[in-house]
Amino acid sequence: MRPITPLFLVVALLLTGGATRLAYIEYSEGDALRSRASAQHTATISFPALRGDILDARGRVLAGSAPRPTIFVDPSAVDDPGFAAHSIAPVLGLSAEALERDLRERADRGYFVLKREVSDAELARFKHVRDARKLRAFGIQADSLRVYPYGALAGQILGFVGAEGRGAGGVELFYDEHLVGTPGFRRSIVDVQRRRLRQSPADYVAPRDGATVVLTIDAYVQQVAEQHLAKAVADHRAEWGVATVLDALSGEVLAMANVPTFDPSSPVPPNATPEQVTASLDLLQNRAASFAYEPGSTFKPFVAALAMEDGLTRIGEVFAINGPRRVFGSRTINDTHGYASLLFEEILSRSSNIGMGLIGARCGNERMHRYVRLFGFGDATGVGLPGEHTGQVNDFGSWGPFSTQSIPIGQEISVTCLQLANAFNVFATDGVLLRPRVVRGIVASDGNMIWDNSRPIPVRRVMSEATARAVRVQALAQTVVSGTGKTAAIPGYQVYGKTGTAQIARPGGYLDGKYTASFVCGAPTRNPRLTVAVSVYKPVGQYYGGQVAAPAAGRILADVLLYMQVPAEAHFDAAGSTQDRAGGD
Amino acid sequence: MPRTAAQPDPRPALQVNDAAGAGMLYDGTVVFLVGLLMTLGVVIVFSASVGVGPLNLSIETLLHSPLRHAAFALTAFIGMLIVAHMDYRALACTTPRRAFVVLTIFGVAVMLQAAALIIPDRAAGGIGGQRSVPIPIGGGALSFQPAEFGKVALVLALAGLLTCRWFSIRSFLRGFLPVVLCCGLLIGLTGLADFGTAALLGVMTLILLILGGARWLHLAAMALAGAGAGAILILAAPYRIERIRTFLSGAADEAGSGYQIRQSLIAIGSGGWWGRGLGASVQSYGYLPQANNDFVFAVICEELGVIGGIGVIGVFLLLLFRGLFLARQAPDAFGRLLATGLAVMIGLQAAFNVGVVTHALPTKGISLPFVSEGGSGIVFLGLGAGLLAAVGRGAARRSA
Repeated sequence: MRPITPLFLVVALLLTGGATRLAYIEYSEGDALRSRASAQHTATISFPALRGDILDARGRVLAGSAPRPTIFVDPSAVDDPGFAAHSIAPVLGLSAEALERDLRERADRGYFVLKREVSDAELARFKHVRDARKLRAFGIQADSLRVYPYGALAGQILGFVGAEGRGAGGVELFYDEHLVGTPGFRRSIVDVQRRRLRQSPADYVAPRDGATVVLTIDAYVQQVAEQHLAKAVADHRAEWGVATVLDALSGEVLAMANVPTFDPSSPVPPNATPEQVTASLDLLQNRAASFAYEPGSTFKPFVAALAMEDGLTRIGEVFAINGPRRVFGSRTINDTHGYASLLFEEILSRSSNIGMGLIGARCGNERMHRYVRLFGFGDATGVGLPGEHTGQVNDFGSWGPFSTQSIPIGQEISVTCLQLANAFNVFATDGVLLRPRVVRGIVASDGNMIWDNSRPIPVRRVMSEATARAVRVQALAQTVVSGTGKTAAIPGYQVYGKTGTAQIARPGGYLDGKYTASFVCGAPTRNPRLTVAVSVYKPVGQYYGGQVAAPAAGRILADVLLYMQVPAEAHFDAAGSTQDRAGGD
Repeated sequence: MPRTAAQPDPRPALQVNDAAGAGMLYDGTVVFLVGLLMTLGVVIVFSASVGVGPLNLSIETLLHSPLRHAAFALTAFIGMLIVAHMDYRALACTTPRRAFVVLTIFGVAVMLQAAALIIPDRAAGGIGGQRSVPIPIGGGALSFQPAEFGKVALVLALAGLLTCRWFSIRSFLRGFLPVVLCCGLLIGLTGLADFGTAALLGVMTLILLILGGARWLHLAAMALAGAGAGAILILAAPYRIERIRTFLSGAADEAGSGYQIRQSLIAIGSGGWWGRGLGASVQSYGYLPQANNDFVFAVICEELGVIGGIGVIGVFLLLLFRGLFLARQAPDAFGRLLATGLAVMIGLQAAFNVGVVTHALPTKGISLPFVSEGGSGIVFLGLGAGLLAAVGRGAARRSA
């Protein structure tokens, strides 16, 4: 027999070679193999976060999220499309034939949505059928639906949420990063059929729902504003209208109404034509903050106040008008009524263009430009909404002799409804310009305050207390008592305000017979609590601000003052001042 | 020419005739090492077989559960102990009757292998084709793989025949040719269904013929014929070409036949040096095909790491060298050749298996001895290990 030891050594060498090979595999490609292993062993499921709510000032839910699961299928994992389709389709109210066809056509795809926004009852039946018939290819995705409990109320302020769950327009867009939340996920080790084997606690991250945005908007005030504005727009067959309601002392925007309204829950009608889509997106525009127009006579108080502030005139000064027509240089200014002379305060209450022309001449362009900017015109208010318009105040260099008489009567300049209301609010605050706010604060889903914006933000003092009070009490209140705005008078409170009827500008001139009728006002005069601006665009028939906008503004004031439980003014007798509907500008 | 002329046996067989006084002096080291491997196998198979689904206690499920493997391992261990207690020389061809018994065992192995090719087995539709004979109980869960029996039978028969006093392997017509034809028949029948085992049998035949003193000229002729037969076997079953092509292509075809070897390497790699821990294998949850039998070594590496895998190889090395020790100490030529054959076969099979699992060799159906799941395989290898231990009994007595 031949020696055996060499044979054993050869076999031992082979075994040692195996061991070496093992070590070599680990040394040379261990890391690559481990990453391949974790790639094929790991399954990650994501859990979507609920979008944060948008609340009104009193905690009413203006926009909320409701879980509405989506049911999907992995067509490539369906063994028998006919059986699967006829099992699932009836439960979801779909056509079995169509579903079977879809499944067959998409057999190479991994994901196909069957139905979105599935109801609880449907979901329960679906789960039952799926589990009973072992249809593993069908799955549930925890999507949510954005709901707007108040329908179209404040639609343009809120904006809407697009298909990807991101905000589009309004607060939904401006505060999207806070509202959207952080999705969670679960990573687990799965077997080859993707069934979960095990999982470590570190591999679960809970979704963090989006933060709650609390608005200064009050749903009731918003509703009141929208109703009265809608009535004004409808009564006067206007194209559209805007209204802004400010809390006078804090600068909070209580309402910002747009008519026609926009329904955030159906931003675009299904199967819309391109024209319909454009029209829908046009509706989304929050014109109260993003559309600038010539203010017309509503601008007069600002110029009058600055003249008084700089001592160029005073309450009780008599101006020789010699109306109804007067030539300033190369320019002729007209008044609606012919006045021989007017007191300073009467120039405002009766809205005399000639009187404002005289005041403008006293002020001069430089002073007017400076004060116009001090009132905040030409700057965005910083209210915190997307697409805010700055209005247009031309550079001082481009102001000419015409400007001296144009600016005092609200021409050569454009403003937004929000700017107008906010600047007019300076009379209510006794001279201080506030920054308007539409968001009071943002609260994280865990209750922590992310942003506290609940305190008034003074921007600057524009005029002295004495000037603001004098213009408000002695001049602007007269507008409603005996001037162009008598239709805004309400029982129990003295209203101060200013009418405006502006021809609509077009490039190089004005549109014939097309007006913006406006009224900007506040109440109560002695102790202002509210500032309201209403503008109605292209009314048909009556077009004076006192006829079209003032009644709506008055009704808004009356309803909201009552709602705010503002005590009626004992000394003020409203009798006899509300019936006279005389208008004029 | 006397058979001792070329390679004189340095230690002529002792004349030990005591039937009485046969104590329990089998080789404990072999039994211990094999028991260790069997225990490891049971543990790994248990850890790799825990399903995800609900518990099902039907007979069918139980027969497929790791309990089945545990039962077979226990059977194999007891069988090993029983054989180890017996006198292996009862199987030496010292009398015509004993020679007849040994040749009968070999004949049975050939017939079983032939039967496996004829009897259809629906249960075992594996890629190897007809590798097993179904046993009609338990719904086909139990089956018998004649190749496992054939391996042990071949070593036993060759060891016996080559050390037989009235048989000379150096004669071509009356020694070498009949032996080679008989072995060739068994290898051929095995190879029709199970190329890996056939290759192992071929290598074992060659080794035992060399050690037994066959002429080099005869061996060269046989090698030529064997190569031809191997080529025919490869051409007869196209999947073998596929396997070799897979191997040569570096497992590039991920989804196809390279999938298994890729998953095997991922199992090894994902264990790292120290492993995920016992029972922590993920690859055995459906990713790695045959995780319980042919590729159980990959799961060992995943759970116990490269260190654990090297440890298992180390156990096989210890077993191999214990076999060498026993062979050298064997009291007779039969014991010597038998111990050599069995130890080398176990070592070779382990080396082949490791080679396949680590992508050093093409994929073929070779299980890891004593560790892989598989009923008849572990039982017959256990009996073989019992014979090896039994040789140790003679060795111990001789050295005493």
